[in-house]
Amino acid sequence: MDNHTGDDETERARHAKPLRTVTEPADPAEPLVATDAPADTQDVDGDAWVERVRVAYDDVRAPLWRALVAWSGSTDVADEALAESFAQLLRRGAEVRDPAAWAWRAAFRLAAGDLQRRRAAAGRQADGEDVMAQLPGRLDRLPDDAIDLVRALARLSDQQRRCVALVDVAGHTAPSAAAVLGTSAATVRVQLMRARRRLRTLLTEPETDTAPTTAAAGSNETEEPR
Amino acid sequence: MTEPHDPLRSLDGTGPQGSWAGVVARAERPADLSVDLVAGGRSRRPLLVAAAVLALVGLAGTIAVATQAGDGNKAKVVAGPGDGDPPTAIWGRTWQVTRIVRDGKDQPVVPASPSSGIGGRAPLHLDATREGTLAFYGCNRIGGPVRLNGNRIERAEGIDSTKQGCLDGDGKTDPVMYQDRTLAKFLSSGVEVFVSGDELTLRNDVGDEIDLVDTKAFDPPVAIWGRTFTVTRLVEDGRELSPKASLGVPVRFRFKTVADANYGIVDTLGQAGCANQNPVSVRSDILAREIVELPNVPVCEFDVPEVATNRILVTQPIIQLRGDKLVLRSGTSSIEAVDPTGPDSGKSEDPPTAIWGKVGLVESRFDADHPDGLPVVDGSAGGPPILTAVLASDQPGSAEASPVGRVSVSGCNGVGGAAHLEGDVLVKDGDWPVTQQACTTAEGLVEQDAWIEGLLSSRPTVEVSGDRLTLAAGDGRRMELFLLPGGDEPPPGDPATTTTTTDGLVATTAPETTAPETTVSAPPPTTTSSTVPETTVPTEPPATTTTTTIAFGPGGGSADGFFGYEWHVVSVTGEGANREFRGAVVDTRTAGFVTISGCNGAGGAMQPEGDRLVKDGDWIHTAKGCPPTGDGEDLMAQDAWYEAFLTDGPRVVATPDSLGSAVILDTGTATVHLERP
Repeated sequence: MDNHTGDDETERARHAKPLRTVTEPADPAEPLVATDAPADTQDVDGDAWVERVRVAYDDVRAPLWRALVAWSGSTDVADEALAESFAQLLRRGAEVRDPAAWAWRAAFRLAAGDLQRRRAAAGRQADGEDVMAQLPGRLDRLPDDAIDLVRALARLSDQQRRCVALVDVAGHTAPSAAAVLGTSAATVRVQLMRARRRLRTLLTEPETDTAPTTAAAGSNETEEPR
Repeated sequence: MTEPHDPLRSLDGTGPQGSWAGVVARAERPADLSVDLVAGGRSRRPLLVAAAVLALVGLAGTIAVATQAGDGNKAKVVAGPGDGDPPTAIWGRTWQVTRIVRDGKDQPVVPASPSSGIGGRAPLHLDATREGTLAFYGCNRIGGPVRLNGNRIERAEGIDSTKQGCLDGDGKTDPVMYQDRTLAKFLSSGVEVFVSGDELTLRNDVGDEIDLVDTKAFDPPVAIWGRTFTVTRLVEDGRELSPKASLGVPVRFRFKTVADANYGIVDTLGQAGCANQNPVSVRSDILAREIVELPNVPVCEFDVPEVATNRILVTQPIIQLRGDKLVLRSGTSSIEAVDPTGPDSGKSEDPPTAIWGKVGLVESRFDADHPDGLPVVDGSAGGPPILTAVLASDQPGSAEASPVGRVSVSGCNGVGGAAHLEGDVLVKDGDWPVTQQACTTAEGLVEQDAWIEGLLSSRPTVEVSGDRLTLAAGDGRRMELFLLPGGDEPPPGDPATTTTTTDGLVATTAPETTAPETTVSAPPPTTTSSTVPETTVPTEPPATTTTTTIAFGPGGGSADGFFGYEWHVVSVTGEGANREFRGAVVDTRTAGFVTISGCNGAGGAMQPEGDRLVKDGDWIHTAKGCPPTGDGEDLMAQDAWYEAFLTDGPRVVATPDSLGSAVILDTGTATVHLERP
């Protein structure tokens, strides 16, 4: 598979616009991501619903997948969560007001469940943090600098990694990332501030220091030291 | 010119392996059940293929023939043969499942699925209206012809099951389908019937048990209106949560009617900072007794029990109300609650002197023009206004008999002083001192303070009943409070009697000679010297206390002097701090609870661990937006910084010369210098 799509700028612009133009919603249930879908979603027929989901899929598949990779440290987990979230959208039907926003939330939940299952299958304790150490060899589809980034992200706390994945990798604003995460925009900003500070260090450390796997396994290294 | 490489964009250009066609194919596969699904789902497109509930079908013909197997039961038995009604009393009735015990453990009772095709939402129930036929209705109809041999159910021709597939709101397999299998297995394992009045117990040979209640025995859902329920058990998505709210008191919710018997407001009490009112309506028939959610219901998304209560309340839970006990069920979530003043509570009115030693949270207030209630504005400490009523410490005799004490209220400002009871009338003694804090963050708070003070000055009648306190003036003004449990007991191990500080905190008086290390001066303002640990309270009526130990209220914990005040930030240093962050207010006047006011109010429970403050649960926030000003003031950044700072568990360091009027909070990388104004 060609992981570099070859038309990066076009693709990025395609999803960047709706993400960047979102203002903080008064209601977390309000749409986070603009779509071309009709406003009235209450009585669309099956075909129209499928088309709406498809449009949402085209809009968010790439940034959502990247965010999932950044957070989970696994392309397999990201593939699975992305596909399953949209499959569930199709099954769920037209009551969903904003398919893309729903998919963002659902995909992260699905990825978390998938990680838990994989950890359990591997007979490891689920600590929710050290995903990289537990999923070796799942990044071989990525370019080297992306692997470095994902490995550095694995050294962050779970919440910091989510914030970076959504804002810095996927292009969410802090308020829209907060809506995905079910937290406040201020919290996202605080986590981002800390995460970026730590990443600056991690990404400039010698290679041996950024290798995350066994060093971080079972340790508390994922939390930023104060 | 090439832009410098941003490592955070290293994933740009990468993408998923799958395609849209793969998503569609996945959607058309059966859901992740080990058995196939029958056509179902909400989409009009035939996305789900037909299937069957094989596990249920496989059980056909296996309903147990009565045996004389050993008892083996470990669950309670409502009645047994000979001491209840005859087993035939099961017939002609519809029974609602209230409890499922399997392997000795309570299982969630999942209501019938809306997509089951049996008439919309309904509680899990057993249809026994036709003699000789029993059937559970969950997702599928499970049951069939049976006959009774004594009190044992004997299969006639086996268990029938419809073959419906049910999905939940997320498009996943509805948990009721798994429950269906449990019920089918249960019925196939030999079941005894015990009927006692309106209650039915089914128990199988291995001791699993299902408790049911005749649906006619439940009160109509409209009986919820006007009542306040205290949550005793909270289960969300199968996960047991503490029924205690973030303020440390039980979560409560009150149903208030607005327009008619089927429409009103549910007001979740005990939380701070979140919108806590939700419009609801109820619908009732013999099987569908549910709260119907209205659109656009605001629900805070912080994971605290009172918010979890709200989340369940707006998921159209089914109402099971019997006397003073209420159960709301939705999927694998449930709320069990009790109305302490309900018809079955057996509680009678307490004497007015029961007010002494109590701490109450203001829940509602009314006047002649607002019989449905005036808004209750959270105090500046982040929770509802707090009323403290304590026995005068120098009053001889028992608390129960004494007419004399002191009352104070903290909302924005603290007001309080001496008072006494004349019968059931509360009378102020002289003028009460009032703090002069300006509160601009909560609209109406200052007016509410004045309203409460006016009520207390109007010789209100006092009515105490269990955990309810009502103060009523003769002109229609009325205030209802929830009395905190244990408020009349001094801290364990402390022989001191309770008294109060002027800002409404409960405090314990200790003999001067004890002079414990943790003693602090009572606010406001203190005039101690560095050598004499004695406090005078000049604004108070004749002081009855000398040295006080601040006792934590609902939050619990030991004293350290940090709680009980409103602290102003005079300096802040450390990474990420902005000098403009000076001037923020850290409010600890509600013991065990810390709030910060900047752009938004943020706060939550904090407990001392040694000399450190440790967050206890999630913070609660308002959600206002405050763009940075041209002067470099960024209140939202300030909010975030202080929250992160406190999250890091700062040490509380008293300055040697401050005598309790100043502290430094220190995380090791940042410090905040606080002073009491």
